[in-house]
Amino acid sequence: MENLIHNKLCIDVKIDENMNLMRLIWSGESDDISPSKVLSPYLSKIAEEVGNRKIVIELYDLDFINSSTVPPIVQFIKQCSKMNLEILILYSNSKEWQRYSFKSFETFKIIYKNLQINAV
Amino acid sequence: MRKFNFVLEVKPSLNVVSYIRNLIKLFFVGYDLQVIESIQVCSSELIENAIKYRYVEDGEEDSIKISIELDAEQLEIQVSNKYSAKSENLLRLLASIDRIKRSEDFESLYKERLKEIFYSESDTGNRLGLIRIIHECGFKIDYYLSGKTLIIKTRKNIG
Repeated sequence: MENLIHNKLCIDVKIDENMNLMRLIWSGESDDISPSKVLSPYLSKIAEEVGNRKIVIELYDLDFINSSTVPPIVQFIKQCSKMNLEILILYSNSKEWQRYSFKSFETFKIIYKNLQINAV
Repeated sequence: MRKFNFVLEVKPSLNVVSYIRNLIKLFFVGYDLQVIESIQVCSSELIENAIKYRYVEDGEEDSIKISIELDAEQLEIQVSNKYSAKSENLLRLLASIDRIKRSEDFESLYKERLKEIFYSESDTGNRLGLIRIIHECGFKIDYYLSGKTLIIKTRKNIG
């Protein structure tokens, strides 16, 4: 799976065969008015190609996202839940905006048992 | 502490949100990082809204105005744009602000909106930015209609 570089947003994909993980390491900024045009097909392809690996969404290096970036991430979580994939989301505890934005994703744990969300 | 006043009128474009965020970073250099991030998040979301919901008649100037006032006690951000009273989007936007103003639990409001996005097939996340301004940045929000101009005003105490 290729990395994504779109304007100031970067998603590095790293496969850890020993741990059976696919790491999606997000960095930079996402402030497009319609980020879902790029992110949704990219993340959808990730879900199709991940196989039986656990997906680790590493968001702690992100400097900024607008609210329009949230729906493609939520739709990705939804797609993974339908496919019964395991997801771990890691966000930064030291960035206030990340605590507010991503801690609230815990609301999906009621719907989706294979979802873990941790602050780092 | 001096009072800072940042006023800018811009033509709407795809890059304008990013441009203003960077300008804010430069203008408020030396301020507490959390204050700068609050200004950036709030300004970005309001300008994005203004770009999405503005309405300009033929021959009218298409512009969005942002004003930021910061002193030792208060931070105020105001964004204005032209609107159409007939626009359903405008009515939805104003209804959303009214709903946010009535709410006392912004975290629940944010989570509820996340669930709506989860269960929808095509939700683009409208209104999430407004809730973010309140929940994440701690602003109060209100709006005013003046002639053909919609003004969204946010305010928070920082003292």
